[in-house]
Amino acid sequence: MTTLMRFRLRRLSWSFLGVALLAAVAAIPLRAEPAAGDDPDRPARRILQRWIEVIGGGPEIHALKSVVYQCKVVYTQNIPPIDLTVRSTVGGQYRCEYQVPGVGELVQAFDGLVAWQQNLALGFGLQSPTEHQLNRLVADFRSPLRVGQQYPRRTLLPDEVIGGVTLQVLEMNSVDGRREKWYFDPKTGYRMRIEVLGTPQRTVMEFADFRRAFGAPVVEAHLIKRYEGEQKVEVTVQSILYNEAMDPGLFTVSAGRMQDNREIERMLFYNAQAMGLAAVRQVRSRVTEQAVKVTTSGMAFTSKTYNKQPNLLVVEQDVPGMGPTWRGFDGKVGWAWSEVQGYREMQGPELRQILGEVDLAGPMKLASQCPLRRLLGEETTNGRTLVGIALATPQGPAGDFYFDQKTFELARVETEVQAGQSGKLKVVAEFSDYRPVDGVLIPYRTVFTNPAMRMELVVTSVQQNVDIDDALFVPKRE
Amino acid sequence: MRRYASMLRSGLALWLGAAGGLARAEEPKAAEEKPAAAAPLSAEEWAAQRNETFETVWKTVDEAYFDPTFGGVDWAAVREKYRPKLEATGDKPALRSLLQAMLGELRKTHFSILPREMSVFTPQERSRVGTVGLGCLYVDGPMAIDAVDTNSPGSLAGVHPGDTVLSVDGIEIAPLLTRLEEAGVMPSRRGLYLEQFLNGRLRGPVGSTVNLVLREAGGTERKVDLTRADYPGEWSEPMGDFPSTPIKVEKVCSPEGIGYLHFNVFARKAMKDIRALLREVPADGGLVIDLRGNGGGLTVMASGIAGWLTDREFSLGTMHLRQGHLDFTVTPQRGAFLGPVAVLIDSGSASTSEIMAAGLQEAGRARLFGEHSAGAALPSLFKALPTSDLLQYAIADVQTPQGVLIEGQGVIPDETIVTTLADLAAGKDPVRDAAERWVKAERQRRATAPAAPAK
Repeated sequence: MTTLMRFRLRRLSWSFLGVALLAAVAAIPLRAEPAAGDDPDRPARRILQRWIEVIGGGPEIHALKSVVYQCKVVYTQNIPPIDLTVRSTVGGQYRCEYQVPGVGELVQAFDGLVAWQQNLALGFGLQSPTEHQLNRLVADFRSPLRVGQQYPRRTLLPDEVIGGVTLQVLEMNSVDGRREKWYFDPKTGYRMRIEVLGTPQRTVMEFADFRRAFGAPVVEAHLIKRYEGEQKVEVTVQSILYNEAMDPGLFTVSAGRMQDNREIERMLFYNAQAMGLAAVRQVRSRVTEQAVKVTTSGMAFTSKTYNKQPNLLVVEQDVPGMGPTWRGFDGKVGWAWSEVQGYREMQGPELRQILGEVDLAGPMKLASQCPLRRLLGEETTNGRTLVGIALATPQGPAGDFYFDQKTFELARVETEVQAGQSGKLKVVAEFSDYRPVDGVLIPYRTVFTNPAMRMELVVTSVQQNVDIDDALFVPKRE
Repeated sequence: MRRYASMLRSGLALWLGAAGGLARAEEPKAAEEKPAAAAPLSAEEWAAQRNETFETVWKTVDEAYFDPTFGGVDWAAVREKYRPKLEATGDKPALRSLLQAMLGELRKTHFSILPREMSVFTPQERSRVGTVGLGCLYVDGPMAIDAVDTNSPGSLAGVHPGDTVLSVDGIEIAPLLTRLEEAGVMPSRRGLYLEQFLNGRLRGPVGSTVNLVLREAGGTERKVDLTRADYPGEWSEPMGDFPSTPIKVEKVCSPEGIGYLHFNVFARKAMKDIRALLREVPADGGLVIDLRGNGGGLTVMASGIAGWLTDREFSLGTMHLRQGHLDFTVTPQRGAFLGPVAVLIDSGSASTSEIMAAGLQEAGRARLFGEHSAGAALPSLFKALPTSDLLQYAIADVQTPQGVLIEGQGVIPDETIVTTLADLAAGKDPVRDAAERWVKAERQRRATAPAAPAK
C-alpha cells in the first residue's frame, strides 16, 4: 500500500464513517403536531418519524449508554482492508481503533478533556480539531436525538426510482450548510440512501442488511457502501453491542505522555518560529542555486530550483554524464525529464514528495504534518545539545528529527526517502550554516549520507520575490 | 527533507554497471609508468599514502557493500589477512595487486582497482588508450577476432574475423582458459574475463605496439605487431571519478523497415543516435538491438531506452542497496516503437546490458538471441584513491522482476545460437540473422493477425 493510498484510506474512512454511522441511527425530535395545512414540514417529519420507529424508537435510542462497533472497511482500490473498532459512552468519551496493515493499530480517543491519538510504534499526539470533530460524529450514537437541530430545514421531493425501487426523497439542509438527499423505502421505512449535494465529486451512501443490534432493541444497517467519484468504500458492520460496561482507562492518557507531548509541541513551535514561519508567508517566489558534490563518486554539479507560490516548481540540474535534467510541478502534474530517461509524470509517493517541495513553508509545518511523535531524548553532538523527536503521520514514520536545544534549528534528520517512482533509501541529512534570507532561515549546507553515498549541497545563492515567468514551469519533454 | 530527495537520487543515479566496457588498458608494468609530473614520494610519504589507500579501499567496501553479511565473507578478517602484506608493496602496481587480491575475496564482479595513468578524463588523456581496431570474441574455447575496423592497424596488418588469438604480448591464451576452467568459473564468465583481458591488452598508449600470434582460418599461424592508434570516434563524458570511454554506435534501418542498433556502452552521448534510430523505424517495422560485447555503463539508461519500446509502464528490475532499494521503472515515451524487438547477447554482454535484456525478456517485450550473458550485473561507483588510482566498487545487487539475481547467473537467451570460428571467417553473423528472421516473421504474423475487437 502506498503512502498516498494510506492517506486517502484514512481520510475516506473518517469522512465515510462520520456520516454513515451517524446516519444509521439519526432520529427526529418530537414536537407538537400543528394542523396539517399550516405545517409544510409535516410530510418530511412523518417519513423521518416512521424511520425512527422502525429502527427502534426515540426512547430506546435515548436509553443507550454505550456502544461498541466492530467493522471491516474494504476499498475497491488496491488497498488492503482495515479493521475498525469504535467504543463510545454516553458521556462523550470515545476510542476508535484502526488496524492498518503495515502500520499497526492506530488509536484515536477522547477522555472528555483531551482528544489524543497513538500508535505504539509511531508515537503519540493530539488530534486536530477536525479529526476530533469527525470522531465525535462517529461515536455519538445518540445523535439521532439531535437530527432535528442539525437539519432544521427539510423538504419532501418527488419520489425517485433507484435500482428499480421507488423511494421517498427528502432534501435535508443542515445548520452548517450541508445539503443532502435522503431516500427512504416506503415499504420498510428504512433510510436506504444519502446523496450529498453541492460537492465537486458525486458522493453517495447506500445502506443495506438491516439487523437488530445486541444489547438494545435498535435496528441498524450492517452494510454501508460509499461512492465518491471513482472511489468506493464498503463497510461491513460485523457486530454492534450496546450498553456494555466500559473501562474508563480505555479513554484516558498518561501524564507522562502528555508531558512529553508538551515538550515536543514546544520544540516544534519554536522551530517554526525560528525558521521564519511568519516571514515565509510573505515569500511569493524563490530561486535557489546549489553546488552539489557527491563525494563518494567524485561528482560535482549545480542545481537551480525555482519556486513560485502557490504551487509551481522546477529544479534544473546539469549532472555529468546525464546532461541537463529537469523535474517539477506545474500546478497539476509532477514531472521529470532527462535525456537518458525521457519524460515521465509522477504518481503516488513520488508525487507526494514533490508536492512537499512545492510548499516553501513545508519545513515549518512539521507540527501539523506529523501528529504522531516520540521523544527520543537528548544527545550532545559537536558541543551542541540536540533534542531528538521521532515524527510520524498515521501512515508511517517521517523520520527521527534532531533539533538544537538552544536555537531550535533542525540539525539532523534520519529518515527514508522516496527515490524515483518506487525506490526507498535510508539517509541521514545534516543541516548547518543556517542564514536568514528576508527573515526566513535557510540551511546553506546540507550533507546526505547513505551507506552507498555521501552528498554535500551548498547554497550559493538565494533570491526571493523575484519575477518568474510561468512558462518556466511548463513540463519539458525534449 | 523532501526538497532534496530527488537530488539524492540524482547522486545515486549514476551507478554504473560497466563490467567490461571501460576504456581501460591492461595494467602497465612498473617501468612503463610515467606519473604526470608528480614529484617522487619519499619512503615515508609512500608508506602513508599506501596505508591510507588500503584503509580507504577496505572502509569504502565495508560501508557500502550491499549485503551486510558480505555473502559469508568475514571482511574484517580479510583486512587482517592483507594488512600485514602492505609493507611489502613498494610501488603502485604492487599495491594494486594486493588490493585487487583483497577485493577478489568477495568473489563478485565490479570490484577493481583501475590505474589512473591508464584512465581517461580529458581529451588530452585519450592518447593513453589507443586502439588496434580489433574486436575479440570468446567462441567456446578459443578467443577469436570477430570485428576488424576499416583502415585500423589491425585491418592494415591483414587481420581477419575468424582469426584465433593464440597469444598476446607473449601471454598464451589457452593456459588462461585452463586456469579459469580449473577455478570453476562458469563458461559465460570465462568469456567475459578473457575478453576483458584481451581487450585490455589490445588497448594501450597511442603509438605503442602489441604483439599477437594468430591462427588464420586456414590453419596458418602468424605473428603480427600492431601499433595502437587514436580511437576514431566519440568518447563518453567522464562522470565524476568514472572515466571516459570510446563510444561506438552502429545504426541502420533497412529499406524494409528493420532497424539494427549496436552500441558498445550505455552512455549519454549514445542516446541521441539510439533515439534517432528508434524514431526512424516504421511503426510496422522491426528492431534488433545488439548488446553483444556491451559491458554496461549508465544503468538508468536501460530504463530510458526501454521506455521507447513500450506503451505501458513496467520494471526492468530492482537494485538492492545496503539500506534501501531503487527500481528500474520503465516509463512509456510518446511515439515509442511497439513492433517486434529482438535483443542479441553474448558472454561480453554484462551489467546494464544484462539488466536491460533480462527486464525486456521478462516483460515479454523482446526475444533474446545469442549466448548466455556474463552474469556480471552489480551497479557500482568509482572513487579516486589517495594514490590517484580508481576504486570501482559495487553498491547494489540487481534482481529481475521475477526475483532472479543476474550476478553470477547471467541471462539465458530464448534462442541460443553459437557463433563459430567458421561463421566469423565467412563473415556470417548467425545470431543477427536468426534475430532478423524472427523479427520479419513476427512482423508478418502481426500484419496478418485478425484485428482485436474494438472495446
